[in-house]
Amino acid sequence: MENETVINLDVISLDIRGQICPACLLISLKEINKHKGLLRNGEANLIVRTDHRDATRTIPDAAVAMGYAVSVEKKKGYYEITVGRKDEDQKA
Amino acid sequence: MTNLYQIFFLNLALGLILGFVFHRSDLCMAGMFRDIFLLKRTFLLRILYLQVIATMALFFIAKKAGLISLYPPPNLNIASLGTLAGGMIFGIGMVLAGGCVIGTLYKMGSGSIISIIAFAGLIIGSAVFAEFYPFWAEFSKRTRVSEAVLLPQLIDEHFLMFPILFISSMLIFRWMRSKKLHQKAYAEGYIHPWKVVIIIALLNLIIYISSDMPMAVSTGYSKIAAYLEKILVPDHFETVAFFKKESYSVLHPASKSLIAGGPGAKFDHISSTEISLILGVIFGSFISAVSIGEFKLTLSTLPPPGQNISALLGGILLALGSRMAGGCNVKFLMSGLPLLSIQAFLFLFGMLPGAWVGTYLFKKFIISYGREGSDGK
Repeated sequence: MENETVINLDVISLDIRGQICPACLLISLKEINKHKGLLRNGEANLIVRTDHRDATRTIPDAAVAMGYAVSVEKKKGYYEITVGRKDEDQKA
Repeated sequence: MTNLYQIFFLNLALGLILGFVFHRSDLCMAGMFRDIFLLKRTFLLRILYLQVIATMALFFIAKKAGLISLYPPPNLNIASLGTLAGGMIFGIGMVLAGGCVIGTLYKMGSGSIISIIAFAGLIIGSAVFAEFYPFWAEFSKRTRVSEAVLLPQLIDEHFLMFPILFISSMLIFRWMRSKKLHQKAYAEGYIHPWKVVIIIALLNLIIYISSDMPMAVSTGYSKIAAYLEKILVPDHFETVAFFKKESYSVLHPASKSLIAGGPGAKFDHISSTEISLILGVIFGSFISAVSIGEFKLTLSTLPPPGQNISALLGGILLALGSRMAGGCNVKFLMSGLPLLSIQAFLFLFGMLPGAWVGTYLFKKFIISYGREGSDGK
């Protein structure tokens, strides 16, 4: 199965369930860079779905270091990592 | 303890704890070294340092208290260039496999298909090594670097231990105060890595005292390969010298009983110390994953072929590297470094560039990620 990228109005979703690091991190970083215009402007959020626990550490770590705001939410059996624009007064 | 069944069940229980805490903390040694090159992050390296120092202090105290009967432990050996080369192959393998010999186990226990493939690679690699073992044994014998196993056999132990423990404690204390051993985590039921390495250090001490040698795991994989060959290709199995050898065979000073184990297809000291840990870690992680609804064994999210091939190759390299070196990261980094084993240092020196090469290969061939990724601002 290839990694499917679905672009809705303002949500770019990336499903990497079943994959582990370093693949999880590299694929997510590529996706962040591909859509950095939209993400930086706040026109879209990237939502990464992963079932690899370590990715909930590495992806937010890397995205925060790049200056994005990140939130992580546990769903049924996997995690959703949301990467988006960081507001001026908002601490990631 | 000299009863193999007692040791087996003790290590199985300790393995369950290990698997549970490994899964919760995702304390991945492959990640530890890979992150240096991929993310320029050294957080997990500080955690490893804490583990080495904590283990060193515990082993040192236990030895002074007369609780340790075999020193150096029989599962550590004389270092050679084979150790260095093995460490390098191991370093490449662990990045490609997405986990080391124990990372693969706990990820497999939580239902990761990729790690099941890496596990298969580890068994295949162990069988492949058995074929060229005689050649490699000769090479290792000719390239020995020292007749000593541990540094304290060359330099007075107190002269080494006291300064290392003193300076390291100060350093660790400073890290604690500046919260450098702590990091933000989002995963449910997360156990912070610094707690986990203290737990592992304690478990390792229990293992060293009860089974007369510290924690190790990778010869266990060779044993599984041996059993499989004995069932599948019995005629060939009989001709393989590697499966006939003993890794160690020593007389226990107190009980006068023989402690012997090797990669062969029989129940021995290696079975009771290593096979038990392998089983324990898999099931401990399984229990952890199920208890928070994160067990994920399903074919519906099978990763792309490139990653599966990488995991298989990585697993094979992990097994080749650990057999070439005479041990894996568990034996050398978690047990050998705290004892100042010369083998452990050589393994580490090989593993670091190996992890760099592994990261490079993964970025080049599996997920092309180049300069455009270095967007930092």
